[in-house]
Amino acid sequence: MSDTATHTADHDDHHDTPKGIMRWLTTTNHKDIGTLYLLFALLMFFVGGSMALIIRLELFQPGLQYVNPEFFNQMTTMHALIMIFGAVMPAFVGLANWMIPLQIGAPDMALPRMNNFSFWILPFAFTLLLSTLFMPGGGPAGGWTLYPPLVQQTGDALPFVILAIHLMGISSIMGAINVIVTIMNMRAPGMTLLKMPLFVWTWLITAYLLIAVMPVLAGAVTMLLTDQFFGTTFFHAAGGGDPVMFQHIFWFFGHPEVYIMILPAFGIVSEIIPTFARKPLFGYDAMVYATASIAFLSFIVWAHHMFTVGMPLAGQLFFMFATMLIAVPTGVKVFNWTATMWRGAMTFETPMLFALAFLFLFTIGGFSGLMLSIVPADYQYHDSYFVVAHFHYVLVPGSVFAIMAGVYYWLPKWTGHMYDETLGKIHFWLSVIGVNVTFFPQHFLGLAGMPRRIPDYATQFTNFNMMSSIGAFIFGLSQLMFVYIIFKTIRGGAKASAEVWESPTGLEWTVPSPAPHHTFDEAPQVK
Amino acid sequence: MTYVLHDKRNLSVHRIELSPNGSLTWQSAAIFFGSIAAASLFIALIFLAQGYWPVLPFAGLELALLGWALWYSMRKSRQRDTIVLEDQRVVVEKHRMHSRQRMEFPRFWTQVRLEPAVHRHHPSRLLIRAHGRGCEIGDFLTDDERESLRLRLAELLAANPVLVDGKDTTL
Repeated sequence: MSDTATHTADHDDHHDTPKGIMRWLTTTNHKDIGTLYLLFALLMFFVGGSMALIIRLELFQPGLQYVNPEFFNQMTTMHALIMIFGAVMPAFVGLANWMIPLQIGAPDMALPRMNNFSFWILPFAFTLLLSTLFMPGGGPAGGWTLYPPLVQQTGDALPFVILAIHLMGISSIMGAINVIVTIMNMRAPGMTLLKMPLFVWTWLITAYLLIAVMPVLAGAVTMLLTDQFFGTTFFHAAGGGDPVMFQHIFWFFGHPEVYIMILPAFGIVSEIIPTFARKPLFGYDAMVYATASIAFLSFIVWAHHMFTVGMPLAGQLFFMFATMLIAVPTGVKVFNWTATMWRGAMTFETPMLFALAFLFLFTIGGFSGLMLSIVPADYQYHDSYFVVAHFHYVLVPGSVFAIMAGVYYWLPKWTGHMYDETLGKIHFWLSVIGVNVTFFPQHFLGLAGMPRRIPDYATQFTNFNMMSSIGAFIFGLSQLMFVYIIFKTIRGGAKASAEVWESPTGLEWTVPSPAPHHTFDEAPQVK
Repeated sequence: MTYVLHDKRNLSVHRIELSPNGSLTWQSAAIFFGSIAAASLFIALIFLAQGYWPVLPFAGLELALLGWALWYSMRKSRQRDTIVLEDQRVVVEKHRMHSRQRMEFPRFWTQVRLEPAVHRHHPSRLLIRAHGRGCEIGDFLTDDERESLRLRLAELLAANPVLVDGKDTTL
C-alpha cells in the first residue's frame, strides 16, 4: 500500500441523506437554500403586508377606529423592518442562491455550510423581532431608523430588537461573502467579468456595498445599546454626545441599503427585457459602469435624508448636487432598457409585464426622489406622505415587482412547469392597479401637508386616504393569487423546455428544466 | 466546465487528474480583498476619529471572515483527485485541504459505480471500489461531469476486461 493513510471502507454503499425536515435543516445545496430564502421572504412579505393593511385600515378614515397610537407606531416600525430585512433582502439572496451558480457555470455556492447557516439565522432573528410585540411596553415604535432618544423610550424590547438586527446583519454579511467568493472564484473558464450576466454583476456590487456598510449599522445599534445599558453617551446630549450624529451614522448605512434593495432588481430587469424584446441588451458595458457609479454615489449622499436637522449651506449644496448626480447613471440604465426594446420583436408575457411596470413606476419613484433632493423643496416635503409615496414607488413597483418578474421568469426553470399565463397576467394587472391606487394619492396627501407616521389626520385628507386604503387591500389580497400560482406551478402544469422562452441568453437556459443538481448537459462554452 | 481533466496515456499507464475550476489567482484575490478592506477600514477609521469606535471591531471581524472565505475557497479549488490505471492495479490519490489519501485496487476487480442522487437537488456519487473497499472520487464535479468520468473510466477499465456496475463491459 502507500506511504500515506490507507483507507479502507472510505465509504460504504449506503449514504444517509437526511429526509423530511432534516433535509431542509441540513441542506447545503444552493437550490434548496435558494428555495428556503424565497419561501421565507414570501412568508415575511405576508407578515409585513398584514401590518401594512392594519395601518391602512386605521387610516381609511380620520379618528381612531381599530388600534391605539402606540400599536400603530409599532406597526409602522415593524412593517418597515420586516419588509426590508425579512422580505426584500432575503428574496434577492434567494434569487442569488438559485441563479448565480447556474449563470456562472459553478456547481454550487463557494461556502455551502455557511450558506445554510446564514439562512437558518433568519427565522430566529425574525421570531425574536416579532416576539417583542408581546413584551411589556410593546415592540419598537420609533420608526425603522431607530433614532435616539425616541427609540430609547422603547420598553423591554430594545435589547431584543438590537439583537435581532445583529442577527439579520450577520446573515446578510455571510450571504454577501458567499456571493462575492462564488462570483470571484467559481466562474466557468472563459467567463470573464465583462461576460457575466447583469444579474451577477449587480449582485457582486450589492455584496460589495453590504460588506462596506453592515459594520456601520452593527456599530450604530451597539452604541444605542451601550448608551441605554452601559452608561456611554455616544448619542446622549446630556453626556456630551450628539443625537444628530446617530442620524448621520444610520443614513451612512441606510442610503447604500436603499441601493442594496434596488441594484439586484436592475439586474433582473436587464435579464428579462432582452429576452422578451428578442434583442441583446443595449450598452452592456455602460450598464455595468452605471451600476458601479450608482454604488459609489450611494456613499456620498446620505445627508439628503436629514436636510432639515440643520447643516451648513455648503453641506446642503454638496449633498443636493451629489444626489442629483445619481440621476445620470440611473438615466443611462433607463435609456438602455428602452433602447433594448426599440424595434424589438416584443411579446408581453407576465415577467415582461412586471419588468415594464418596473421601468415606468420605478422611474416615477426616481423623479420624486429628484424632487426631494432639492433642499428648499425638501423642507416642504420632509416627513410628509410625499416621502412615503416616493420610497414606496421605489420599493414596491421597483424592488418587489422586479422580484415577482424574476420569479415568473425563472419559475419554469426551477420547477420544470410553466406557470398559468392567464392567472399571471391577472395577478399583474391587479398588482399594478393596486399599487398605483395605493401610492399615487399619497403624493397629493404629502403635498397637501399630511405628515407621515400618524394614526389620525385632519378631515381634508380623507378622500385620498380612502383611495389609498382601498388600493392597499386590492394589492394585498391579489398577492394571495401569487401564492396560488407559485404552488400550482410547483405541483404541475405544462412541461417547460430547457430554454423555456424563445432564445434567451445565459448558461441557466442550457440546463434542463427543472434544473438538475448543479450540472450542465454539456460543458458550458462562454464565448 | 467546472473541473480540469488531464487524461494522459504513457505506455501502459493511464493517468487522470481531476481538480475543480478556480477563476481567481492569489494575486487577484489579494487585490480584490485589498480594495474591499481599504473601503471598509477607511469608513470605520473615519468613525473612529469621530469617537464612534464600535464600528471598527465589526469591520475587522467582517473582513477577517471575508479573508478566510476567500482563502478557504481558493484552497478548496486546489484539491485534486488522481486516478492512475496501471496494468495490474488502479491507484487513487485524493488531495484535500487537510488530508491526503491513497488507495490501490487490483485492476481486474475494480468497479466504477455512479450512485444516483436521493433527492433531485442532491448530487450523485461516483465510487471506485474492489474487494469491499472503495472511495468516492470527483465529489467536486457536476453530475454530468461525473457521468462522463464514469464512462471514461469504464472504457479504460474495459480495455482490460473488468466488471463495471457489476457487468462485464469488455469492448
